[in-house]
Amino acid sequence: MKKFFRYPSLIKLLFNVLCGCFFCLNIQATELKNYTAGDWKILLESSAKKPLVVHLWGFTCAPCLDELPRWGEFVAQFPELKTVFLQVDDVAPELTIQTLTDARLDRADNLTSAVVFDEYMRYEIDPRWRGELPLTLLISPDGDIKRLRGTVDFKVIQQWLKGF
Amino acid sequence: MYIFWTLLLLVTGLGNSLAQHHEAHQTAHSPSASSPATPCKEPTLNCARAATPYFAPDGALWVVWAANGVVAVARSTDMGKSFEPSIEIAKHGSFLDTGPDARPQLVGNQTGDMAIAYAFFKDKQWNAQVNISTSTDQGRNFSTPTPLSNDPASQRFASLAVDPQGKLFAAWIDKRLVTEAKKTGKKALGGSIAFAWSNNMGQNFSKENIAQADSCECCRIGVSLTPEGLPVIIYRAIFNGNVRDHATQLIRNETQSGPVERVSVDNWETDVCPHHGPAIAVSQRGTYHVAWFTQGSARTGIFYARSTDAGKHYSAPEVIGNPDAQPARPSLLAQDKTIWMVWKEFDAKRAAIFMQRSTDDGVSWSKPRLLSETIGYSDHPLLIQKQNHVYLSWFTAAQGYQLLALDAQ
Repeated sequence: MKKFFRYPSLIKLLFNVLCGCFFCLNIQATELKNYTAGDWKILLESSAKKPLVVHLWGFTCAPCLDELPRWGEFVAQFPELKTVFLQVDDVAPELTIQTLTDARLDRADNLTSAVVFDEYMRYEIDPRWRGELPLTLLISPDGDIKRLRGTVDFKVIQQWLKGF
Repeated sequence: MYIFWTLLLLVTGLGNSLAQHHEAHQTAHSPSASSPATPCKEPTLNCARAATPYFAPDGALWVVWAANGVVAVARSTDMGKSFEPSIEIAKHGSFLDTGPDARPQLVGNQTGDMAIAYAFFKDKQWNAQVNISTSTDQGRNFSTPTPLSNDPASQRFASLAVDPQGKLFAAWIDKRLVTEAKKTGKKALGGSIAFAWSNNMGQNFSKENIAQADSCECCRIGVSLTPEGLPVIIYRAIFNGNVRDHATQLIRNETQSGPVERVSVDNWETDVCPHHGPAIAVSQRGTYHVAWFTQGSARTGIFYARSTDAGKHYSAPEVIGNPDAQPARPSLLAQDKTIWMVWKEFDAKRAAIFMQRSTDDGVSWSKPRLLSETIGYSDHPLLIQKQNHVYLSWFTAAQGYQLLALDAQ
């Protein structure tokens, strides 16, 4: 064992390999897709006339980060409901993935903005949206959109779901 | 998990947070067209998310900006048409605070000393830290950034001002009270408004004070000086549980702040991050001029009001801009009894900057006038003064950095 510690480069290599494995185990299950201009229409079309929940959040929004674990619980409770999470800040994907994993959202539909999320990007989603976060959109199969501004009372979503 | 986060922070940029004392080594490109649809990936002014101007006593324009995880500053002697090689102040990668209302700040005193403030996220809970970098040689060198506060809780949105004696004033959003409350199991919202003073342009600060315990945590603070040289701040406070309306407060001295004066009862009951802070300018007559954004039940949009009694009473809110064009980001500047106001509008295709001017200390205003427009990403419009001239400072991805003389309009 003493011999082992004589080779700091070997320790460093082993450490890196272990960390790499740890990293892989933790986040490889999560798929984080890029979201860019024009993707909103595609996202709406992907719901195939089923109820769709889109939750917009960002790292520069502390209430968003506080709320994410509760979204993890909600998704676990309603696995059949298509729920999409869109992260809007300019943050490295690996950090976003790790935060989602910590919130048990690693199996959810996760998007992260690949462009600056400015008024153009917001307007495409909702012309009335002025950038406040968190924002949750409840999208009915007929395309009707209900906006929930701020942290969510999940009973409201459950009540909304009863309508379908 | 802790080890993992530590490693992740290191490899993704927080390891670079200890910025070095840098010599100039990169160029702030002169403005050139760039595709607004393509994010620019360099740390140059052309790729800025936010750019803040300052005129030094020698008349030179300085601009500090945040771009792709870097804070940098550069000097221009031709009013922003070109810049000298820039100085990198700090490099934080993904951890630099580039939220929609965040921007690096730059102020200076009469001898040419300067202070830069910015925020970055310091831990895995995304608590932020405000750093200050100081130049005491007219901008040839800037110090290694140091924390404005050593409190482990989060600090963001520092706003700076220099009083007539050359003392640096800083106000910021501080979460120490909220953090302490949560530790004891109490429900706590938002943050607090803190302030401190420095006699050496930010190399160190006096006692940190809480001016107001309950405030929004996601909006910048506005600051202006009274004719006597005292700071007046405006911020989104929390009233009656969770109503996020605006308030002004006079900072009386190094430790004392005046009463919290509510600007208007908009009644925006929410726990969102609006990412949309207010503006203030105090005229030579001592009139407070304020502008703000709200989505309250009483009104929605951006609004202007004035107070002639140090904030005790405000005039009825006046709508700014076209309510159908997402009016946003108001900026105010007072020049004797002439008051300038600019803001941004967006019509789904282009962003435009409009201006109104009052020559009677805010009693009446000119009609809105279009100043500039762009297609693609654009920063907030800012007003800045050099001697008797007022300028619009505006960064756009398509046109680059612009400095537009308003009194020539």
